Amino acid sequence: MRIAYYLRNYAEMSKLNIQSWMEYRIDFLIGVFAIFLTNTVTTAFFWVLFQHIPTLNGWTFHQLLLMYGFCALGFGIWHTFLTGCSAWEMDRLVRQGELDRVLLRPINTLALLVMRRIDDDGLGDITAGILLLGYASMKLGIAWSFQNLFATFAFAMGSAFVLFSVNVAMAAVAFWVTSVRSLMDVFWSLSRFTEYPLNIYNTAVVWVLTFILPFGFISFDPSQFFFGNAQWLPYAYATPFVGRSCSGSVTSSGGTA
Amino acid sequence: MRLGPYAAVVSNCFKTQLEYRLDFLTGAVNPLLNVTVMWFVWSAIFASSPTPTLGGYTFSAMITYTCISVIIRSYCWLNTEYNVENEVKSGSVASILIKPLSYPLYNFARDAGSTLMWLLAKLPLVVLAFVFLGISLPASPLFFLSAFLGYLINYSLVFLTAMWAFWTTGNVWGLRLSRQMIMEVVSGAIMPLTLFPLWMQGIFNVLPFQAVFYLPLSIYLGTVSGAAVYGALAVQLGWLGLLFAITYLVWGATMKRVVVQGG
Repeated sequence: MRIAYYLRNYAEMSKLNIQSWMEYRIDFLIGVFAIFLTNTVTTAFFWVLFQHIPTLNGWTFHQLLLMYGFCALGFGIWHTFLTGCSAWEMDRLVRQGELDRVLLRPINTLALLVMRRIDDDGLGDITAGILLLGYASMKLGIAWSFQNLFATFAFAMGSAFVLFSVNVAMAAVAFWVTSVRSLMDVFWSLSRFTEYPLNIYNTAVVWVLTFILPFGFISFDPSQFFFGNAQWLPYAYATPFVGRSCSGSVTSSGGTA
Repeated sequence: MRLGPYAAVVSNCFKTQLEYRLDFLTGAVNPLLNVTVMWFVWSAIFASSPTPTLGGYTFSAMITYTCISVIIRSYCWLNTEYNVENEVKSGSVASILIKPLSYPLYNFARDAGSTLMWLLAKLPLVVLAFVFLGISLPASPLFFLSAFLGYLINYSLVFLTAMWAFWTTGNVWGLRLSRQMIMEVVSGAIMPLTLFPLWMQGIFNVLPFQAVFYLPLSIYLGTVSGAAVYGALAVQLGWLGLLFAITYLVWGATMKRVVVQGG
């Protein structure tokens, strides 16, 4: 693969993307703020509940915030950098025939779709994620060592690629049905499962969220690395690899379709 | 005023929505997923709680609250803001404005059609919630009137948000999402307001949002009962009157400065 060629194109397209944010400055600010606000709903929910209960299934308020922080960061990275091939984009591209233009370019189609779009709104999620992780780790006494920062980065990338893979699979349905936008709603509903610790669900749900739709790797499993729970540690270490293998299987099946 | 054209718009939009089978299917699956998550979450919360009730609600009352909230939430996700934004941006709003129709009422009718469809999609949830989760029936039939008033109050807020498109010709979705997220928390949509600290309840009680969710839900569960039900309905009517007046004034001011690009 001609990495330099891809990087040069990516840099060029990113520059145009960022320039277009500045063109619509108020939309940019309101969009980032709105996405930031979406994270306060669950945070507020936890805060209010912990006025009444000491722990939730053994987890403290700050531990839940750390889990939710991973959720927000993973979603933020995915939303910002990987939604060029999301179900809602694909829906539009296929219906308006714009995909034909993309297919003609001398470059990998999936890579081009991803590269052409950096969504500024995701910055709201990234900001919320970093604030939550920073605050929670401070309260939990987790050191900001190189090892921990590297692990956080690797976990967040893993989560982002899990989301990417599930979403590309949904986007692919756009070739068979006229509108896949409503599938996005299912995606958002399913993602709600990741906002809460996995051990509140029954075995069947946990099994599905680990092996079929690996959303458990987005928030719950990575945070176990920092809590040092031996029981869940193997899953934590698996996060970046799950993300990698999911996206690998989606991209290769996309190539043969 | 002739209502005939608006009734036709309602029925057409209802039929248009039915055309998209996949949308209908996901519209039925989504609420089931939402209730599933919340059932597990509330189970864990009540198991962790030192007291059997939270904010005055038992576990089964909380599940009833959650299910009814998910069902009436279909009136929260309306298309008016997107329709207005698209029509202002493309300029097609001009061809609607010259028709002998009231633009606010026309938009209301469009969304009423799709809301009916979304309510229909909630039927599986209604059946499953009564059969498997054993949720209770409404404590007073006035709940239906209260929910309808909630819908109208919510619609006024939606229409006011949509006016942003006329004033900035920009995107409405950011403002729409912000309003929805604030509403989720302060209207009592995700949890009863009695769980909040007292000083926050004091603030929420003077906002219009609780009249959209919390008052109808309280009437459903019977936490507001007897003569207090009429008090709650009066509060809703008051908000509706006030928001209606504001919408009327804002719409008048908007029409004075409407700019149509292209078309």
